[in-house]
Amino acid sequence: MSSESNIEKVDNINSEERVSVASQGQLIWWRFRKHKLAVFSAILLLLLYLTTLFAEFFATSDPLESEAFRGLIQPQPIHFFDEGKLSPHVCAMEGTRDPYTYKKTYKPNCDKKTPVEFFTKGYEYEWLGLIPMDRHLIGVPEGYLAEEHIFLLGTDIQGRDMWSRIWVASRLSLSIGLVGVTLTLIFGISLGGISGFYGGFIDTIIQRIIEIIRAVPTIPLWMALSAAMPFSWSIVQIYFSITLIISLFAWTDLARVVRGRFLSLREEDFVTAAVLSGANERRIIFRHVMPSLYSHIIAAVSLAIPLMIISETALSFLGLGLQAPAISWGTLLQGTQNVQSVALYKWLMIPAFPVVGSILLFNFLGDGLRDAADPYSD
Amino acid sequence: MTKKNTKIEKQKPILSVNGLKVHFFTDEGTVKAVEGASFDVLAGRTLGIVGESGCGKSVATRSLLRLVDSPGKIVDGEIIYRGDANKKEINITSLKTSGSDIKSIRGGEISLIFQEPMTSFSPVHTVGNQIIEAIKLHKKLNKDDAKGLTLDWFKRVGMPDPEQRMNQYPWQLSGGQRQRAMIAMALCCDPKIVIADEPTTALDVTTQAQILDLLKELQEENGMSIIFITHDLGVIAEISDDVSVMYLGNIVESASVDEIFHSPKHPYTTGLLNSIPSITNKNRERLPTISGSIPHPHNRPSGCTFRNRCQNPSDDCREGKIEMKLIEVSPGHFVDQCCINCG
Amino acid sequence: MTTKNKKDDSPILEVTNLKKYFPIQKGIFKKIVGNVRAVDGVDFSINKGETVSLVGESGCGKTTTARCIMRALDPTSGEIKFKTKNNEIIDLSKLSKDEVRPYRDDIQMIFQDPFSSLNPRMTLFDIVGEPLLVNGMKAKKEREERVSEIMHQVGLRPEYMMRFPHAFSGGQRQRIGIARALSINPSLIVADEPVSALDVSVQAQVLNLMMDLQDQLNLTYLFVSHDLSVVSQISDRVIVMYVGKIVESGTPKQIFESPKHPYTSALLSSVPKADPRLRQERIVLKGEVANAADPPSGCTFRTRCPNPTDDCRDGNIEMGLIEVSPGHWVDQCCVNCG
Ligand SMILES: Nc1ncnc2c1ncn2[C@@H]1O[C@H](COP(=O)(O)OP(=O)(O)OP(=O)(O)O)[C@@H](O)[C@H]1O
Ligand SMILES: Nc1ncnc2c1ncn2[C@@H]1O[C@H](COP(=O)(O)OP(=O)(O)OP(=O)(O)O)[C@@H](O)[C@H]1O
Ligand SMILES: [Mg+2]
Ligand SMILES: [Mg+2]
Repeated sequence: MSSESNIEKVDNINSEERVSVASQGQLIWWRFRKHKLAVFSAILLLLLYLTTLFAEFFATSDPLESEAFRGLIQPQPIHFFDEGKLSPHVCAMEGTRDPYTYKKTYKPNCDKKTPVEFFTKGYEYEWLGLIPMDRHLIGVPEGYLAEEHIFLLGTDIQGRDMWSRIWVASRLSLSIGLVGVTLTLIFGISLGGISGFYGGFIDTIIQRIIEIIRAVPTIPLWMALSAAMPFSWSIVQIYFSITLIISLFAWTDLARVVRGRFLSLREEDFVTAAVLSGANERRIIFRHVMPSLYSHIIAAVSLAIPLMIISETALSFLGLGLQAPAISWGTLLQGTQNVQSVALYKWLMIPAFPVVGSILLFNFLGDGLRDAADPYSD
Repeated sequence: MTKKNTKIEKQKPILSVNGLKVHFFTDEGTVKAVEGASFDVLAGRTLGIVGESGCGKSVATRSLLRLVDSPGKIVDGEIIYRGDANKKEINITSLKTSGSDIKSIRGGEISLIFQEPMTSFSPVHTVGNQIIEAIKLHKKLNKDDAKGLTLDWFKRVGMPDPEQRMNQYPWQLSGGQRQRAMIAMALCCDPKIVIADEPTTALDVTTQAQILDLLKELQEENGMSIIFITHDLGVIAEISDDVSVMYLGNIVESASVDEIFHSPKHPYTTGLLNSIPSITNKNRERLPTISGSIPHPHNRPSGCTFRNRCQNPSDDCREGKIEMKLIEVSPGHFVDQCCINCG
Repeated sequence: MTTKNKKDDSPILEVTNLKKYFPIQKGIFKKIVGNVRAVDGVDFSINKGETVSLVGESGCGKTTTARCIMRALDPTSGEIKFKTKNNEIIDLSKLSKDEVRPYRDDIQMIFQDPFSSLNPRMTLFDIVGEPLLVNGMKAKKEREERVSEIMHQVGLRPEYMMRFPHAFSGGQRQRIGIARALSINPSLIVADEPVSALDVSVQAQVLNLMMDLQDQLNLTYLFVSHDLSVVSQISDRVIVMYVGKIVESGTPKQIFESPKHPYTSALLSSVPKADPRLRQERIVLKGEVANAADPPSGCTFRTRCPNPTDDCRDGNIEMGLIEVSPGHWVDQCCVNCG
């Protein structure tokens, strides 16, 4: 018998069989697709991130423009019809001061209507800090007073429009997660990888460092580090220091996972096979070990991003993170720090919804991803 | 062996499986893991089930205890258990999967020995304690009696240093010792049937030989039936009285061990037997092989599942027109009807 | 029976007094409290075109020996003389990891587990072509030709080149492993239990393939297995190991028909015969396998030996192979107790 005849015998059956030639990515995708909730979350998140690029376009008025005489206006609904005709408008808010408490209260007065226009010209901004633009999705025509504006979600104490501020804030808050995760990945993978691949003395040192970092209570250290930031720093500088501080803790988890995988992969037969065929270390790490880590990295990232968003919100809320005039969900929520505002000006708590919402979405997405990410698990 | 044969002949089997079908409803499609398997287990005898990896041996035997994993379901067939001559027959397929009836059968009447004992012992308790718990549960004994019985079983399975081993954790035992502990656990409640799912595959030959001898000895003492699953025909020849050959979810041939090895009728059985290397073979001789490979369970051929590997199928069979069904060609020797004449 | 093209008598591999000790570490300071003597003074040689098999119980040091020869492990001491393609003799045990790399294309390995030995994230082309790529065949076209040639040779369709290993059965995966090992034309192949994980019918296909390829390419095999029937099928010489040492070696005929060492006899009698009419009494060894971390003095087998001599029982006889008939070597303590 020759090996020729052997070929036919072994393979004629399998040629009929439609065996897949799916790569890792495809397998992950097929599995991921089955998680409806995760796919839905992924789409929403994608949209959310896209819209943050156009935050000013969605804003109705300049988020920084404060007018004392229009402070704490409650949310104003848009009326689409006017006496049976389509003509979107809002009713003007008329403020009266309570003679006893000196508190200003607003009432809608539907006799004075402010028309609402779409794709209207509004305040001027620089899109992505580059291109000067003045178009907005909704707005009021030129020539109306500052208090005759449209306040979809009301205004804060300084009369700044909440709707516009939340949109602009989402840019900082959502991006801090991405930047932080990138830093986490860089630290986690490189240090964890070195630790696991080389082992020995380096490994011991890195492991001790991780243990020390993890032993320090998080909140006090955050507070100390944030307090150490000079007041003179610009928003951008503070922003980056905050992400750095947040990712300082997050990388240790990833580093441990990566180290563990490196240690076990080093013993895998396919890695030994590559070593025995003469592959050098670079090839072993980048062709064999790293691709096996993707699923773990995806899992780690899907956990880390929401953690970062929450951390930033918490820090800023406490006044330790970003500071006004920077706008993030955390700084917006600072306005709710007293009981009075919670009781009387409930709309000030609206920025909590995007925080909760985006974190839920990330968690749903993460569940699906973690499940799909290891197509070779069975 | 011949003595045993004559004695058993007329008795009703202690367990009969008829047309068992177990399907796994996965996202990729339905995997027909077991598709109409039938076999009988006779009291006090060992039934060997052989077949290649993935043919459904484990799934078929685990369904006897209703232990089929989650996307899997018994979709058809019956499993009749006749544990006691005076009690009435139990149809295991009609029991609830987590009811008290099946729980009293599991471990008490029918017990399982796994290939990898490490996974069936919990690593956080000593082996002794785990067996004591099992005895307490099934035999309603107090702790001291259960302990005494466990020690007794450790001695019977030939565990070296039984007192000391009882206080050790599973991972502190060698592979052979773990398998002995597993056997002690499976037998401690005097089951009528022991299902041994590849109990020696992970062991080396010398340890395997000891475990096989041990099982045979214990069977002689207790008179239990053994269902022994393996893909090693050497082991089958060594331990079984009757053999069922399984291929892609069906039993294709079943007979006494002597018949299977000396006058096999099904081409698959013949093929398997021919492809075993043997010490008595001529050195460096090429082994005859079964041509082709097992189809994926997702696309089972219609009709006879073996037809695309068969050397000379009949025309009807080649086209998948003949259904699979065991027929008796000589007393006690059953062969799938398509392949009676093509072996 | 197949005939071999050429078998010359000069050894391609000569292992002398090979030892591999694994340190046993305890505590947080990783203090070394002892050694597992996994391989403890092993000598053997393999001639070109031969198949030499290592057999023995689990844990006797077969894999460790094979991995030392491959230099996947660093031997503790001993010599591993290897004759390269240009007839240069080098001592693999003395070379550093970087110095060994140029010789890797001459010795390749086939692994036991057809699942863990193939990277699930690489296509067959990348897997089989990897040894070619890292050994300097950069042109993709050239590699494709070689990969398809070798796939054809091991009985896989070259069209499957772009598939991932998860689409293949165990037997096919083992062929892929063989293709990878053969792609750079090695002269020595170390196969560590290449068929242990396979079903009988597939096992026979792979064994046939290995024998065919040996005839075609004049390969030399070091074949590690615990399955004596497989070993008898494929080997020219058999080496029986027990707790890190060789206790008997010879041709399959010598070993299987007239074993001299009591351990070999016990091992043989444990092999189940695929014939119910040949059920037989087994030689059951009493006692436990010697602990490789703390082996007994003298003969390591004396604790289980059915009838040791007085001197041997006391551990006074050192182990060492002596030739009892041409080519048949047995440990000196046990020449007369089998
Ligand atoms: N949980 C499950 N989900 C889907 N398919 C399954 C599951 N368990 C088993 N199967 C399928 O059922 C078939 C039979 O599996 P089974 O474990 O009974 O094989 P086996 O004969 O015991 O093989 P082996 O000798 O490898 O143990 C296989 O094709 C397997 O893929
Ligand atoms: N990396 C290691 N560290 C410590 N001890 C080891 C290591 N690798 C192997 N050993 C020990 O060395 C001895 C020989 O192991 P080896 O893997 O060579 O056995 P083997 O003959 O191949 O067995 P098997 O048939 O089970 O594969 C065993 O006692 C094992 O526990
Ligand atoms: Mg199984
Ligand atoms: Mg080994």
